[in-house]
Amino acid sequence: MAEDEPNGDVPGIQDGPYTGPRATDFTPEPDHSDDPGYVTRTRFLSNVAIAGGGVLTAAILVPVVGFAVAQPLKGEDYRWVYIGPASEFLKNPPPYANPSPSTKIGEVTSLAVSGPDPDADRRIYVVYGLKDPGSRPQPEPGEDSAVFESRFAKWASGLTAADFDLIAIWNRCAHLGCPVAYSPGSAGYVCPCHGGAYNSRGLVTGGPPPRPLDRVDIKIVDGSKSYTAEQIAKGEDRVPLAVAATSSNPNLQVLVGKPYSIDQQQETFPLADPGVPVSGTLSHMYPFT
Amino acid sequence: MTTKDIGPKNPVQKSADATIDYVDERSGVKTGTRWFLFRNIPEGTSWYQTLGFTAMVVFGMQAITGIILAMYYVPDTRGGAYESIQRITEEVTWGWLVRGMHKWGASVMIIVVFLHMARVFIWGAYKYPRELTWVTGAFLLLLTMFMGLTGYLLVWDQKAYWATVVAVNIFASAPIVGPYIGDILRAGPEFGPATLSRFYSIHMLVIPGAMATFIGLHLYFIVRLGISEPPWSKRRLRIERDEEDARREAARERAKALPGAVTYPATWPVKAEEGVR
Repeated sequence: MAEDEPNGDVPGIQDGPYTGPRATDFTPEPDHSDDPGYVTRTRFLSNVAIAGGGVLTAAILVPVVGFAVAQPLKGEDYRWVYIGPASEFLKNPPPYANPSPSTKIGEVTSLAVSGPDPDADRRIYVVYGLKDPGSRPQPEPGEDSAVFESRFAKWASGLTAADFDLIAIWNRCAHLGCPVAYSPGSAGYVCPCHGGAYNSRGLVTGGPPPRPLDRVDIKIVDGSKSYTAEQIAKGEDRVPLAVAATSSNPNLQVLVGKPYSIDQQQETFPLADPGVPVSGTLSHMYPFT
Repeated sequence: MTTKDIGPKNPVQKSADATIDYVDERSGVKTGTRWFLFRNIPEGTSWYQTLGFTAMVVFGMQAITGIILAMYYVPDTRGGAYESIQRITEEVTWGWLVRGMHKWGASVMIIVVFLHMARVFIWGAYKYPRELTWVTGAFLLLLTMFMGLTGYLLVWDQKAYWATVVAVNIFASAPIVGPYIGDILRAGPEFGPATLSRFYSIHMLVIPGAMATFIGLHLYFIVRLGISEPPWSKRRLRIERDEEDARREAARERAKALPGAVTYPATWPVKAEEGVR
């Protein structure tokens, strides 16, 4: 009978147990939903959308933030500003030539010097005076005036041009930037905002300022001569103060330039913001300036 | 009777209802309003909880008066800023009033914001789950203070100028980044026209946008979490008492479990520290 003939093509029907493929052997299509590392099409497209959105956002924000922030961070360009003839600032005869106890040593001239911005309304005090104002003898209480005068004359006779210098003091208070005023009575500068007090050279004598008043570079040049920019940068155009103080050359001019900061020992530092100490422990809080 | 007879007969009210229904069907405004305004509030809610809303109203007043003032103000340092404010005060109709509202409103806003913060702090309303409400509120406080700083300069008189110089230099004396912040705020190393424009822009565009965003977040948190109970709420006191009782009971159990523990009479109060020891 045809029905009894062995069906050779289908295994397992007649020759023992079934050995063909079973339902349990079925391998499903790989499902990567539990594999966080596998990038599906949806996840890929999402990432592309996020990255593209980020690029577009950055394309808008980077120029805007740079426009708002980068420009103010640029430094100032300084140029030398003519403030007057040397005779106006160096008194003739110079103060060390035969001073009397009533001679004012350390004349202060107040000048408006606008910075790079005309509205900045910067003001400097030009001081031609003793490098060490404390060395000047002061009458002691109960001292005979003749004794004091002889003491003063002894000190005055030892003075030389090297004991004097010409400095320009910026009137920006080193505490928080209010304008200081020169007070002739105390021969110093006083800040109206928080009571910072400075001596005639701008060194702190009291109050909250963390460093002395900032100074502005000042030089005397001979206006009748011309120098190249390189020579000016090297300082070859500068007339020494001791020469200028005794010179009768009418072409001597006084120029002021770039501001800088000093500490209480009058060491120079790059210009710092008000409230920022330039030397000492606390200056390390401002590592990038 | 058919269902068509239900509802108002008044044609005005009918059309008004129809309009509301039209909008509601498309926007869900009724649900939204109910979610936003018709909330359950805890027992003991009082006028103290209105300080935040007061601050928001003052912010709204500042926004409106500020917009009007911007129509007359000229942010120009070379004869314009100070003069335009003189003109607003002296010449423009009701200019003195609107400027006064804006000026005094600024002080009122600072006061109200601080009262609001004090209320939240003293009541302990910043605690779980309302920490983020507090954080957004803290940002709003900073923004309000910065609003005061930037607005103060716009008057551009001597007091405004030097007070802002000092304030910016206080920012600039912050460690590490201070000098950069100072330069960015000043728009350079010195105060000048760019500073005024910058402060004007920050005052009327940057901060109001940020404040509106944070007010939105603040409100969302308040609506989502509900307002907190006052400290004297009976429900809250009961919960705290139950928690305290549970703590004492647990301490008592621990004391019993310790080796060599004495069995205290149930009436003895046992402190948690004693239980641990």
